[in-house]
Amino acid sequence: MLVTRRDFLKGMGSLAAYAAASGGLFAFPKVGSALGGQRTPEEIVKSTCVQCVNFCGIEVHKVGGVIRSIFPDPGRRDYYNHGICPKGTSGLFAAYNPYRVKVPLKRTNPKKGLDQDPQWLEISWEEAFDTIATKLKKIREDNPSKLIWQHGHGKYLIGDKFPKAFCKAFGTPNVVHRTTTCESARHVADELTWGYHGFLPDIDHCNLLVVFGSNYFEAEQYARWMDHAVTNARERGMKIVAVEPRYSHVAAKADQWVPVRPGKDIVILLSISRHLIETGNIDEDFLITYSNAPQLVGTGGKVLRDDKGEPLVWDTVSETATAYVEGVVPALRGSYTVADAPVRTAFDVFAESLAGMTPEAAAEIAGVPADVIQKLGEDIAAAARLGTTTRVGDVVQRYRPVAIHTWRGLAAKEFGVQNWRAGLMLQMLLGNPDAVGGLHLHSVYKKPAYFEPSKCEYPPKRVDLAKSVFFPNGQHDVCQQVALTLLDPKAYGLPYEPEMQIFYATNRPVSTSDTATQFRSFDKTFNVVIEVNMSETAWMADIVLPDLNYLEAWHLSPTRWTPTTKHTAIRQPMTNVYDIPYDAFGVLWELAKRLDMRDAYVDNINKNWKQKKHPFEKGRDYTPREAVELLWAEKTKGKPFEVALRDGFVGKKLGPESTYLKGVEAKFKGPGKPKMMFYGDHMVRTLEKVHETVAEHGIQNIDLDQYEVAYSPVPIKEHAFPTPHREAGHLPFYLITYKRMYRNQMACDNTNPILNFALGKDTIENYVVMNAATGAEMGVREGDQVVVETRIGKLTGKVQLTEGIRPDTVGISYHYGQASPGFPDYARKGMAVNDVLELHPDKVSGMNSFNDTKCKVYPAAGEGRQS
Amino acid sequence: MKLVRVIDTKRCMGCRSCVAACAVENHFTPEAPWNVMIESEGGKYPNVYRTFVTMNCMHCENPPCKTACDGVKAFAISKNELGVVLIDYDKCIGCGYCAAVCPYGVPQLNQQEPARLYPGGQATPYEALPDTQRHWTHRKKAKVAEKCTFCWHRLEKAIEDGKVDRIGKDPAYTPACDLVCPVDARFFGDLDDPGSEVAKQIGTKRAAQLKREYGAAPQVYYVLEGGEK
Amino acid sequence: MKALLRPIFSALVCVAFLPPAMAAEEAEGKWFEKSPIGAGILSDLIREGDLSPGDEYTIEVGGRFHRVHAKFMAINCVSCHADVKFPDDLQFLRREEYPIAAYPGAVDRGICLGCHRGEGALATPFYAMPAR
Repeated sequence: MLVTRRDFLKGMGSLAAYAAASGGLFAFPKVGSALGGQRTPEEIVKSTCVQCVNFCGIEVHKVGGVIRSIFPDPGRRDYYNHGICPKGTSGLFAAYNPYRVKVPLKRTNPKKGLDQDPQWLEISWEEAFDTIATKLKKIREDNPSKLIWQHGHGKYLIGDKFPKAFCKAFGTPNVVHRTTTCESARHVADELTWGYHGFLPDIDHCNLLVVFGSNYFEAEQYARWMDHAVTNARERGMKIVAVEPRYSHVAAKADQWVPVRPGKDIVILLSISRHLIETGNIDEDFLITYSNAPQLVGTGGKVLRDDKGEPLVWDTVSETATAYVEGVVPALRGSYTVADAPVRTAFDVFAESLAGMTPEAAAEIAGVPADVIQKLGEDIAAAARLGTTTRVGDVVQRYRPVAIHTWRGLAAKEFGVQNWRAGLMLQMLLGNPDAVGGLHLHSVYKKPAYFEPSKCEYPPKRVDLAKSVFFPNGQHDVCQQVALTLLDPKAYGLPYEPEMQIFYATNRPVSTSDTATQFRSFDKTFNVVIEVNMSETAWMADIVLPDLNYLEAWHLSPTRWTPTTKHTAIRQPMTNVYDIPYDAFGVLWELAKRLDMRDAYVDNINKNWKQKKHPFEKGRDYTPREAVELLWAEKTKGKPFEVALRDGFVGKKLGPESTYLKGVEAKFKGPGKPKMMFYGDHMVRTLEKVHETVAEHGIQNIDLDQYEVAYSPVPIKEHAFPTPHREAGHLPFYLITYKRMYRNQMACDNTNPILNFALGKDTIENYVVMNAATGAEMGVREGDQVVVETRIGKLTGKVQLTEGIRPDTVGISYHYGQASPGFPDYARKGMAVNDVLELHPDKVSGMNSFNDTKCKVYPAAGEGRQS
Repeated sequence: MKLVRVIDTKRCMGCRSCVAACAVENHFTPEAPWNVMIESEGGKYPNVYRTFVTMNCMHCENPPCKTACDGVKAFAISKNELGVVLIDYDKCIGCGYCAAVCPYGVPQLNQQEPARLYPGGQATPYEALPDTQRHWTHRKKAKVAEKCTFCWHRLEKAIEDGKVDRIGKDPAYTPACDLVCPVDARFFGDLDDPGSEVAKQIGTKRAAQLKREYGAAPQVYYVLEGGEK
Repeated sequence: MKALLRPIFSALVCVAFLPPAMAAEEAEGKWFEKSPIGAGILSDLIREGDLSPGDEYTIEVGGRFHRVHAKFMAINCVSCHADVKFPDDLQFLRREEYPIAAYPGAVDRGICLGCHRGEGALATPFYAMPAR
């Protein structure tokens, strides 16, 4: 049955299997029969919401077989979320969405484009599997690397371990996750500094929380824990300073808003670091005992090492350069001569680099008054309670009740790694990592390899160039690069030409800067999309497979830890609105069988999930439920599955020893241990490797000067000047992006009637948010149409005037302006800001530059505003 | 027993989850919300503040809407045994007097047949739930007034189950909006019970009713940030 | 305060010119021709059914509500419909109520309060009634 766009929108695309049973076009299953006049009993199912990355515990209420409402699971209160967001509350409409993909679809129009009607042909699952498996077989025999698997939210729907196991068994290295769209620069900065990623402020004991761009009330990971934890702490007296260009809901609930010029946060951090050092408000003991700050740096910028490769410090006892072992008392500061060459401590390298970073100098760059920066430094110093300890339970620990927090604020930019490195270094000066009230670090030093220089691989094995010489520390994949490499594989030295892409629950081009370029790459490969709705990516596919919604499928759900709790949870199906027979787990299993690699797949599943006591067996199939039962048993050490079905999770509360003593205390403290990378010695060595690789292979498209800046061993003010700031000075406005609660993270929220029509008139579209005075100066009023024009494109949108944004800044939120013709018009309102954002990824991590673009703004029918 | 709600706008961070929960729970009809978020901004850059206040029916002790309704002899509005102000859709004549007199702008005149949630589409299974599986307060009609019922269907359940003392404590007997708040900014319960959370919140946080000059004696209390009118 | 007094003042001044067509039959052509009727008396007559502004209970223009206020009480439109819209920081649930009808704008309930408050009020007391 051939389906035009019009048909699809009318719901006909859904119907083949379905219409016969339900007796009408666009029909839903019949609702259970009435139960007389009596109250219909409710069925309650405990599960986990997976509409964003918070994974809240939920309680789904069903009446007569219909999902009637969704509430937070009261059982999860002590472990994670107290409430749920409007998306979670109205999540039933993600399942009951008539615009879902319901049967496999095959493209018959070979031309791909959002302006093209794919002329979808409904096909059977058998035909879909057969087509895909035949192509995969051929690729596998030729060169398995030519298959690229990409997932975004799919990582949380069935976990990335199944796709990774599948691709390993298949033989392709190309499994690409989306983290450079989110916060990979933050993760990489963490990894380069303390050997793993993920931290949370110890909010229960913190007295001053300084937030450099993290909207924990709306759209961040951990938002549903931080929201109540921060609110409680504030009621207790914790102060909050929000450093961000736009007055977010976090700023609205803060004690102070510091509207910083976009991209310039780092100079505030550097200036405060300078203040702390100059006034002696630093934790010398912490820096010496836990970090590499005392290590000696030679003229080439590398740390001096002994014959065994151990880094050297200046021992104040023996007055010699030696490894930090028992009996050695390292000097934190000083210049010395070692082997006739001048050396100085890493700490001094940093301290001296800050010489010019006075509050006045920072003020000039950041657009924040010098006295505000000075006062913030003084407040942080005062709140840090340097030299004190406190007791929590039986644990006596450093007491540093001040923390700096961020997500995309510091990360989503060209120098994201260095921006957050500056935040981490400031906090190391205070000695707050793993201190009571400080910054709680997760799985400290779990991967020692992060402290080694990158191999700077060339030619790249992976199509996203992760960990190659192009993105030496692309440790969280470089998702937006896939498209660019596909368009010109030879330019990056890729030794093969990819032939097929499978996209699982990701709308990659739309969530990437410079979207148009991303879409162009779809012509280069055969594309399969597994997706619940007709996203833009699906619209460009050759085959679309429907997926089960989060209320319809089994999974061992991801969960979020907090400093004092952790838990294991499941998702369980409570409906299957369109009788879809497979989720991505089932699709992978079927393909593994058809490719005769099921046993190899099972091996890799056991390896990736670390199934030791409860392994998957070879030679048989598993239903999704059977798979989840095994995963649950392994993760909970054999807890009966009935507990999962009844409670949805099992939780564990951590004692203070676990919270405070298992991180930096256990891994870095004292002589003979590895040290936190206050100074980026490994970055210097990676840079050296980049130089060597470029020279060795004659690579032309790497600008070594830029790598010098990106791989500086300490953050510097140049990191406040991403490419558009340097090159597009003629454009008067900074363009920033942000997320709103109502659409955050899931494309299919755009058709959710509650989120569109029930929450207020401002949720169905996004706006060009401008300062009221700027608007007045330009003669634009609330609701006027304006053009936002950048160096790569322009878009038109409705103005929203506010006092809550810098006069030199324009903000546009994400998750609106969908371009897929597979959505009704009302669900496509607003602007897709990625269309006009320049792409200058962070060279260290590959992180996308979402907050660096400059623009001009002018009334839709008028002339441009000149600077 | 005096059932009251306390909304702490100092804690509220404006997520509108309570608004969404109300809409789902009470078979929301577009253009006639029972619960809304009022977000306002004050001050001048860079000294700015923003307030978040959610509003639903105040279930006044002296409900002006009831006076007006009785005045037109429709007698559609009642204040029941638990102090809940309810509108009987069958008696309502759609005159709008209740809407005109309410100082809080609460009652909504549902202008047309309840619209489909997906414009142009057919009813979802949720919308297709038959009347027999809906509480009478959810059998929406065109051209009658409707408003928040304090989730009467849940309170009524408490009466039927003989668990009136569990109202505000057991989720099954608590209004939907009060169950979803991520930051614990909403409380529901018996003000006459000195141990109840609402009584404590009112006492310790100086929660007060809005627009007391109207003398309606609302049963919803607010802890205000300041700056609201 | 000024806003509250205005409608009372207009009501008192303007009811003298009550159009004869509005009067109830039993009052026709008799006492009101001799001297102007006070707004209070008029309100009582309406409440007691001696004077009928019609029985079309609706707040739409042309219905009883507007006849009472605009015709019998002769209150100017703008005395009640003071603003085009409610300010953003006003705690009022149905904020969009009047902008849809557009002219001449929303009614601040504070204006209603001027007449409809408490015991002994000129108008039907909706507000500030003693607690039951």
